[in-house]
Amino acid sequence: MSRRILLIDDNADLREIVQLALEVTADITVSSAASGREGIEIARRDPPDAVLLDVKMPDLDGPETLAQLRADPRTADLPVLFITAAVQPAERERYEALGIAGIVEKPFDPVRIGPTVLATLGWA
Amino acid sequence: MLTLRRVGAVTAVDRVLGSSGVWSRVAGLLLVALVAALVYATGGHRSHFEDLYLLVLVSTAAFHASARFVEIAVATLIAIALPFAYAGWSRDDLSELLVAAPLWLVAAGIVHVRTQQLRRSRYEQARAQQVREQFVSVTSHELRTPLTAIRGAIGLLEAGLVDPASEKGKRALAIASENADRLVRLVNDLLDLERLDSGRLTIVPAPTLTDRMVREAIDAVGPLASEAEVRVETEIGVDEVVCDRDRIVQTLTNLLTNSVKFSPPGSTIRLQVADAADEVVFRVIDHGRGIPEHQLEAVFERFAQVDVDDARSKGGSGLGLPICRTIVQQHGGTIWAERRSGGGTTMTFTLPRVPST
Repeated sequence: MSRRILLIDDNADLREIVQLALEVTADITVSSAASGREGIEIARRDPPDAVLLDVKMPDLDGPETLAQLRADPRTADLPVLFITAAVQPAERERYEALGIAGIVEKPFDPVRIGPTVLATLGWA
Repeated sequence: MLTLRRVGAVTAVDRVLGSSGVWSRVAGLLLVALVAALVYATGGHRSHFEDLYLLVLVSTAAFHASARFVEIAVATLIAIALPFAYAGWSRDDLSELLVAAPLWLVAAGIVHVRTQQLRRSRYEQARAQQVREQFVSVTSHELRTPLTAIRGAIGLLEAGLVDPASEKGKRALAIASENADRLVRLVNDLLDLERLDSGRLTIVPAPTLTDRMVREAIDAVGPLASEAEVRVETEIGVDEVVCDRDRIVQTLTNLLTNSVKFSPPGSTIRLQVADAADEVVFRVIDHGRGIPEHQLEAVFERFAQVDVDDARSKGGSGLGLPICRTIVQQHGGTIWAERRSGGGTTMTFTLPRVPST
């Protein structure tokens, strides 16, 4: 039974590549959403095992989406990973203080993204 | 002792005036006036030192309050008037003051003007720095996104995790090459914009045949238009325009490209060139999906595509309209977007008959 991750990213090409990479490197089943709003809706309707969340998005960005997930009992306890460009230490600290499970940095090595996500979520 | 108290007074004035807001400014200036008056009223006789002191006081006030000159003048007048009202000063004192007062005013005025200049330049520097940082941040994001897609796609193929001949492999290759194209366009447009903005690419206006220019722009979008099954019609009411030919062709091509991308198949785009009082008006009118009211101005900002997926599905760099705007402005014209009542967009730009450059 493979794990299910919900990927929320506004860039369609990145959604496709991340999905492909997670499937072939870690046998993770990926569903995806193009915006924070859509992602929240999917997560409420059918909670995944974890959420991979892009930080920089128009409308609802990563931290705002995270806050809404946390505010709803159905999604409050979901492990969330941020996926974002290389961050400054101060930014990283700020993100980690939000209670996320980890950060996947862009550009990522597609061969290692699966194992990294598994290890970070304690699924390895 | 007296001197120390006076230094203390300057510091206190300093503190009050350090805060902003109209009332604290007024209060600060009144305080200055009062202190100045007291110095005169209690000092027994006035010395050059005291003249100097007042000068420093009023100047400090002007410096910190960034008060208007008239406010400083009023403060000074109050400072002068008070001793006459309450300390029994005489005509002789007045004559001496009348000599000193203009000097303070001039000094305060100079300090005031200089302060404003410093503040303005500091503000402008901070603003420019902010714009630069914003630009670097946005640009690096725009560059990194296609790079991430390319890196991901190629990495999977390289490691043999995805078979290039499979459906998924072909998708990965297509994503890599589309994003590489996107990067090329992005870098080209960034360079264009940078050269235009920095003045390294200057506008050279010359009399140009309108018809030829329009034809060239239409030819440039020809393949895209026929693929999208969109027709371009022209109405040219001006024979000749004084402009930088290549740049205006680039502008028309950009506008036509946008219109073609967002037009439904079978529709027609109209390109009009018309004569107005002292300018030539270019219009590109389409039946596309239109621009939301609140974004009509924002579309001319860098990377301000109406829909986040447009960059991918329509292949734009997000810099086309900013480039058009820069070109038109450098000709001394203006450019704007309007919604059409029946749906679609009208992009209009004007060029002065006699270019200002």
